[in-house]
Amino acid sequence: MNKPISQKQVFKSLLDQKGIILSEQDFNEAYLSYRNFRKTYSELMKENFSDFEPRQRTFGEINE
Amino acid sequence: MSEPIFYKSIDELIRMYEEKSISPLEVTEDFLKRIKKYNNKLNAYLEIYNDDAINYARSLNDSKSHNPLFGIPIGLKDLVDIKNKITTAGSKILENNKATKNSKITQDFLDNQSIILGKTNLVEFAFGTLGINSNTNTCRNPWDTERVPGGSSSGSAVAVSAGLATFAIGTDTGGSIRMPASLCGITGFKPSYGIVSRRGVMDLSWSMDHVGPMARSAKDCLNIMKVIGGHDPRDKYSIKLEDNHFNEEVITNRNEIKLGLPKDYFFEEVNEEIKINVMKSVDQLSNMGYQIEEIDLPFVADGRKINIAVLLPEAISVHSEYLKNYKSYTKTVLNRMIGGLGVSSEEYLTASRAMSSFNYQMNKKMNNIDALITPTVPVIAPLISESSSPNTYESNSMGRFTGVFNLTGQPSISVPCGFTKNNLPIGMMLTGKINNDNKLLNIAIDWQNETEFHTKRPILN
Repeated sequence: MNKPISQKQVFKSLLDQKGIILSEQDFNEAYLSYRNFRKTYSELMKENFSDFEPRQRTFGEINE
Repeated sequence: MSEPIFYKSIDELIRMYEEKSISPLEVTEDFLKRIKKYNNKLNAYLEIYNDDAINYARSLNDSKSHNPLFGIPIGLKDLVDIKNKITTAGSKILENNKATKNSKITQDFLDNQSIILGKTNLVEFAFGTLGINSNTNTCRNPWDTERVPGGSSSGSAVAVSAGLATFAIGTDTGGSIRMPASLCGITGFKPSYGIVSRRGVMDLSWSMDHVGPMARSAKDCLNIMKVIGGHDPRDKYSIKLEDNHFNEEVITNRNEIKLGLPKDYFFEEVNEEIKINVMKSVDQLSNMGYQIEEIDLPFVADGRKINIAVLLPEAISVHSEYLKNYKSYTKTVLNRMIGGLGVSSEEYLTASRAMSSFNYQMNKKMNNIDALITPTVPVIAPLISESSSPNTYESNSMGRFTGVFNLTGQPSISVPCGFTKNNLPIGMMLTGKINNDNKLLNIAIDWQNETEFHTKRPILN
């Protein structure tokens, strides 16, 4: 059975795809940002926005 | 006491030109002398158009113009294109990037015979909150030069605060006009989304980018908006307000204007001195006759998160070619950018739908409210020496409040409302109904007619 890929490995592979090579220290710092952003998206994906289409700012008459 | 030339308002300078008590050339020379004296320390400007400004100002001396910004010396954030001038975006990658056309707002200023003094300093690619850019000389807060000025429109804020321009232009994707305005003790206005054309201004995030004025008063901001606010058919996201939307309207009915005070979130984990000064300002607004109503915004804590979730993949898309040159980015900005790699289309669309849901809830709450009052930022300007890491508490929390209104697209202005015991400026943020920019500006003007915080100047050694 294949070992699950860690989030760090996923991040490394994303950097590899872009041809970005970082020192160990820079990689670890950038990974912290990546991990925080992953948490944000994972929280958003759990919510239900089925009533809404993207990027709307103004709406017609709003009734409760 | 009369202010020196370099601190005069737009109206004052225009009046002096009409009375012929001073000429555009004399004013421009005054500013350039002051820039020469202070810019080496403050680093507000990346490039100064000394000869161009002098020659142009000289050509205006015999002009009988009635343009509203005639002869006014200004700075443009180095994201804004001027034909045949370099737009670096504070980056090594664009250090030879010569613009082939004027941005729409550059053309507006040229059509109005304003005098462009130079390009102002900024965070690389406008992607940061403290105003630090290791590519450029460090931009310094005029109130304490060991402290950050805020970002990303750092140079524009510093230029206005230190009397190195009458006004400047900034951009705001998560608070980059309002945060440095607050930290530098000036007035910074983010208009409603689409009111000011972004044509010829470098993108960071198409959904969140706004362009707006940074000046020493809301009245000056209004005068600037009369010129740059308006539909641009060549900017697809530009919206059309009614003609003459921007006008000074003296407020005679304060008791009919309701200001919402959202206590939660905007007053949690906020520096105590900021909280005290903003609450004193709320009391003063109440004494002036405005209705103050506490308002509950239970959803608002998600705002900054959604702002970033939409912003990041758009920024990565904007930067897809530049990232091939990743070694030329500053570490801080590269770190932020690549932290957002791997966002799927599903995730981006979910974030965009979350944006709509958030905006719907905010629209509902704003139904009966004319403007919200909050602190602009939750923290005091940190020391430059303690701000080199990309993940300091201050850099992560600085945009907590401002970013919410990039998401909603509401007009939002930071005005000075006090000082810390160490004489650092404190900003209050007023945020209006979307596309009701004029009303918001006039409330801010009314506030400044009754207070003097915006008239205080830093002492420059």
